Amino acid sequence: MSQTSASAAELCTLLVRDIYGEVSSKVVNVLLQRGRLTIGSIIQQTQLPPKSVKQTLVVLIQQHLVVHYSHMEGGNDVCYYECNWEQAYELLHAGRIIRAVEDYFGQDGALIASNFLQLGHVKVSDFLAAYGVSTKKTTKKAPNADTIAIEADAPITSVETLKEVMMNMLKARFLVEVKKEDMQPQTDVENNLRNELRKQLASGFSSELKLNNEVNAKLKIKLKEMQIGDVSETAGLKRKAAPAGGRVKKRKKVSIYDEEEEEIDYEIDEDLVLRINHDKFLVLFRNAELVALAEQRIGKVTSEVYREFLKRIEPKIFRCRDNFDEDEDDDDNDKIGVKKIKLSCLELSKHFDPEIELEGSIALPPKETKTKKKRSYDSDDEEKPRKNGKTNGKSKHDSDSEEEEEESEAEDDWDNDADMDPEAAKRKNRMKMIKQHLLLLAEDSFKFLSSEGNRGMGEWSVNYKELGKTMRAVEMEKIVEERFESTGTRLLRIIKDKGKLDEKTISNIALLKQGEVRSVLAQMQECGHLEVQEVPRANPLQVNKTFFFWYFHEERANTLLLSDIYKAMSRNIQRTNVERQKRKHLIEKSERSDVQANFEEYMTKSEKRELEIWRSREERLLVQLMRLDRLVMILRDF
Amino acid sequence: MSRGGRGGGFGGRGGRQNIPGVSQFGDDIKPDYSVTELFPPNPPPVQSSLTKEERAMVSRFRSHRDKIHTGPFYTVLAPRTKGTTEDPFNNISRYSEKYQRKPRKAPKLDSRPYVVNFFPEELHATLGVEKTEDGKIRKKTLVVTQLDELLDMVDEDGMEDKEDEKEDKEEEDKGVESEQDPDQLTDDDEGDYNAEQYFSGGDDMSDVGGDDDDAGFY
Repeated sequence: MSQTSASAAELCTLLVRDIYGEVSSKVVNVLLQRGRLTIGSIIQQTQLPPKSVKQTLVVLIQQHLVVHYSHMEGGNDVCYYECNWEQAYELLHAGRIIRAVEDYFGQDGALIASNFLQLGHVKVSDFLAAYGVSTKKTTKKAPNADTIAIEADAPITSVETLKEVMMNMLKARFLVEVKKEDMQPQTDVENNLRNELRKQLASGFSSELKLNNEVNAKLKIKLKEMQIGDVSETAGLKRKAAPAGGRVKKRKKVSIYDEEEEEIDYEIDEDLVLRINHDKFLVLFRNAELVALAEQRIGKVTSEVYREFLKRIEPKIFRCRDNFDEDEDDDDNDKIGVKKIKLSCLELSKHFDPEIELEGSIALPPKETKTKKKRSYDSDDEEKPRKNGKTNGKSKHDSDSEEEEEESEAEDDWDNDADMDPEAAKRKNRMKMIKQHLLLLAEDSFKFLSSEGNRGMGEWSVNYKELGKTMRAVEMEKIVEERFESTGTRLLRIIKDKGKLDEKTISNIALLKQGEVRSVLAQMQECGHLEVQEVPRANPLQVNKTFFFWYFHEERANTLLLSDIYKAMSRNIQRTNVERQKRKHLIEKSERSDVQANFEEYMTKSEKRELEIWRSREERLLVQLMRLDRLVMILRDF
Repeated sequence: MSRGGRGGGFGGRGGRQNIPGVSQFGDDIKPDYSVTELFPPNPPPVQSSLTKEERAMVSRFRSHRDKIHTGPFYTVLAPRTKGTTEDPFNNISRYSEKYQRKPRKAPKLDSRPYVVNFFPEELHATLGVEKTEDGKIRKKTLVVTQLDELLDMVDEDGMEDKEDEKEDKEEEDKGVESEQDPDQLTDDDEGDYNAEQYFSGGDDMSDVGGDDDDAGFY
């Protein structure tokens, strides 16, 4: 993961150049090419004046793009710098992150996120102080400030609101505390910890081997804890001092984001240093991807239900890759448990978004046909005929064993309740619909959910690891399909399914001519989708007496594909730069302050047209970049 | 993406076991010796239309990038030589240059507070950490303009001016390049008569040396 490939290094250099300018990218480039360096070597390699190298390093460290570590070497401290390329890649996610925060916390949140991204990390008190000043200033300058309000960014009205939103962002782990270890290279942190543990445990063990094992085991846990950070509800918060005057009221009004009203008033600890938590956002992006996949496979409404489900368990998931071997439980935050994150239908329906229209979204199996349901199926038929057909068949197929008894039991309940309270009956009906959708999701061959028992009308968990694999496979197949058409996909699936095969067998299974198979297989190997292994039949190696077995090596195929994508992204950015260079003078003119002030007057018609072309072209290129970025996330992060 | 895929497929791969031109797949396949088209027609894929969500995302990204570009951390390399070899038509000083957005050649570091502990010791001087008499680190407030675009440019300039005065005292350890005072004449305006410009250019060059020589020391 942490290794840099040449193509990734190129991409990161281009990204840094795009965002932080040429000087920064030069330093990053040297660090990526040569590994960790001292400041002296950086100066030498970049051939920049020492002054600007130092300044640039400050910028890069502030933005977490460069990490540093001081060693004792020959009596004095020597500081080494290393580029954190994954963080450099994250520069690309800025748009996505701001957009995601906007969905959760509205304009205020988006503005905070944007500012945090710009600042790298910042102490809460400094951040608040800046706004304290800013709000005063804006009120003073209000009359002539209207020209600048081009952007729809609503001003943050008060420091109180700001605090509130920030606290919620901290709770949602969109912001995390920055610790000293975050500024150091991973390996150094690990070595330090190892040495410490060694010293601590050395006395208790007789043999070196045992000690090593123990140290390694503890190290793993500690590192994990360190990466995840403090996960308790009140992390980074402190008890609010006695509320002064009317502040409490204000708080209540603002706290629409908070689902559970707390008894004790907490406020954000102002000594905290915070930054954007990129890991958490990856979790959000993964959820969005899964929902999109569910929509493609099953249908719109089901994917909405899935979205709600994922949203509910999302607070318990801190990082994408963490939940693979061990899962964390909500109840005991500090201990790492092995319990799965489960959610029951009952809990889900409690907080289910009432906007989502579930009625008539699903067709019930004919076994329990009621006229009402039947009608809804018919009316919906035109809209999603395929989905409903599938649904119908599947549900029938599924209702066996434990689900069935439970369902019929639950059904009885509804029948009894029907004449009680229309509101309650409606709610129950809704719950039933939700359950139907959840069942659909669990039944799908992609296994969006896996069933975990019957408590609370059925409990479900999400197997992210398997889903990640599925998503990777889907994307891989899409690319193979694009390159080699259906033949390629067919061969890929056969080889995946059967393992190592020689050409003849493949052609037999695929029902294709051997020659045809051969050319496609060879090209696929060239692109890195397939691997070939030679097994000689006789001792003197001869080509015609050798078996050639084709096989699919997932990890390798993914890595090769990733590096291809990195290259494509680099080309994309370079293309944008070329397009910009072509119109350099025009763009410079449009950025001039006098032109900005009266744009209509100073720009000719053709210039405006050209500028429009440039804007739309850049937008298209950027969108393409984001699409590639999505692929990268699927292949690398999810 | 797969330009020349078919043509190069057999020749280019697997330099280990097969002689170029001879197929490794056995005798039943005749290698294709005919001349392949150098650039076979390869229609480029067309991008599917942008969704609303994507547009929103890109517009956030762009505005974010613009904010950084106008912020204190975006830096460009100073043009090395401004000699006669460059375009004589476009590279002349113009009146309108005074309206142009001037990119920074060095980041403006003292515009904000830092968490000093997070930086290595050797960079502390660069951070512009000032210590007051009693040894405490003097606090700085975040410059508002980099957070909010609500304030107008006039205000920003005003604030920078105030800061510049502060900076003047510590001018010695600050580079010449870090000053971006809008009122002062810049290098571009001074043209050929600025001897220092050439001098500092030469200063840069002194570091250059041969790459090999430098590598020898480290």
